[in-house]
Amino acid sequence: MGVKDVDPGEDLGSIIERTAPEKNRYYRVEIPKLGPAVLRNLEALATGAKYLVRPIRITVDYPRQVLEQPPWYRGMFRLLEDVCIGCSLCDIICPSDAIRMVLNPQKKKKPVINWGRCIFCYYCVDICPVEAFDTTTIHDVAYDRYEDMLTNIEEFTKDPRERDPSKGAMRMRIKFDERRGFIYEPVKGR
Amino acid sequence: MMLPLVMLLKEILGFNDTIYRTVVGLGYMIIYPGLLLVVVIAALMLWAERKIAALVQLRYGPLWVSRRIGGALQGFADLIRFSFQEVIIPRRSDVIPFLLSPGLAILFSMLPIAFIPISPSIHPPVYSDLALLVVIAIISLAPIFIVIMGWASDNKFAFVGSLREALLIVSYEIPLIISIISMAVIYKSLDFYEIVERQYMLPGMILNPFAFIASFIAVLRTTSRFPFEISEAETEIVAGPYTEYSGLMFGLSMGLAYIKLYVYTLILSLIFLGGWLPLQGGEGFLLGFLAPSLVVILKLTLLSLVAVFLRAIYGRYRLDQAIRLGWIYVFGLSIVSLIWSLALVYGGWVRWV
Repeated sequence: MGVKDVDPGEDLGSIIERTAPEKNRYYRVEIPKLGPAVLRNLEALATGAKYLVRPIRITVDYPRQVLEQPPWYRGMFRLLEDVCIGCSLCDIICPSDAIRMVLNPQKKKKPVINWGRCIFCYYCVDICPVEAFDTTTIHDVAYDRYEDMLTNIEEFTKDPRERDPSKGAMRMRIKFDERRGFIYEPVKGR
Repeated sequence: MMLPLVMLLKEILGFNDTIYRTVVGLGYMIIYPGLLLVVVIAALMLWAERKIAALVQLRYGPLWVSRRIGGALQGFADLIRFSFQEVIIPRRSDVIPFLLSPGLAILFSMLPIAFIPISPSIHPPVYSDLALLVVIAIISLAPIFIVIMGWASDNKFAFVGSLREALLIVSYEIPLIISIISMAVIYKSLDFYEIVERQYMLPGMILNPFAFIASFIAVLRTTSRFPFEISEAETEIVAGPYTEYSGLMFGLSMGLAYIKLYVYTLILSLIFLGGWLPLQGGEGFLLGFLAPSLVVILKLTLLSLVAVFLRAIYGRYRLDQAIRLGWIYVFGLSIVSLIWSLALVYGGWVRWV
């Protein structure tokens, strides 16, 4: 192929080679070698066929199977209203403005949470001086409507385990397998 | 279902031959190798493409509809959904071409079935000894309507998509036609029956492997399979020429590629894979029509599965890479296949009695 005069700023891709760097404006168009290209294509086909015949799945079939989380996993939590002293530290520390303080019927300040804003950093749980938050490992923040994510005190004191969307699902655990890498196996005895 | 009934009626009532041929032709076009089978195979191919890509990419793939058979009815579910969705016509579009072009594209890509035999006993509705040429001529009209789709919808993504389609038609239809014509040179015939009969010892893909590879790559481009899914590249230009279509119109234009895949693989399986050949055809409906046609459909399904498997392993070429590949390698390969055919025929290695 011939030598082509193109703009030096223009990038035409990997197979184009600069031939006169001192002038910085001449490029040669080169055709890639046929043999290695065909071999690489055949290699890719063989790899694809290998995975097609012996499939490895690394995804969990979510609504039917859920991963069992360790007890220190940061999931949804609820307010223990009787324990809370209304100190507002959780509202102050919250980095995403998810927690707000509202007045309950007894004119005491209590926190409420917007699950749409919460990033599950657990600063509020850590900073609480009286441990007024009851934590779970449920992380399925799935609601029918956006407004349902904005809780009031009554909803925030309800147990998240009661409305867990993945309640009937099979609990899975991660296991390491020599051939397939990480696989999932069902948790027994629950 | 219909054909044995018609044959029975013909024997009992002494049907007039014209009526018999009309009814058989309608059944041919609408039910068995025609529309109904095309829709079924297109829907199954849509599922197979997604499932194969999912298996290779370590995922599950479509599973929600009909879980027990691996989500195989997903394509039909999509078809039903498309049929009941609202069709939106953009205000600035050119309405008549916008509405007509998907249907015309499908018409011109399905019309070749009228010329293609699928079994030795029942002839296609239109029998011609120049059938191969007619089929290629008709099916290469279909991409023109894809260009019209993009032009009529007045959308920049659709413009870009139809421009890419137009550039790629030119660089891949010519190698396809040359490599198919080189097979006609070997067989010294354009009649599908003679072409299939002459493969009784060696299938065409062994007689002329260059033509098989060149035409398979060109079919991958024409039906926009990977790595040539450039005109509909959904990560770059929403859906290419089909961007403005919605509802049933989108279903039609998305199914167009699968319908073309069906017809092209039908042609390729007759020319290169020997058609119904392990079976010679016999008496009656079962041996003379059903069994040979099922062999043909098995072969075309295998070819289509290879074509949709490529989605799992290839990325998408840039436009200039695809055009360079087309004009240098695929066009060169088709010229080599033509020279190979001429050498075989005039060197005296291939003689037809």
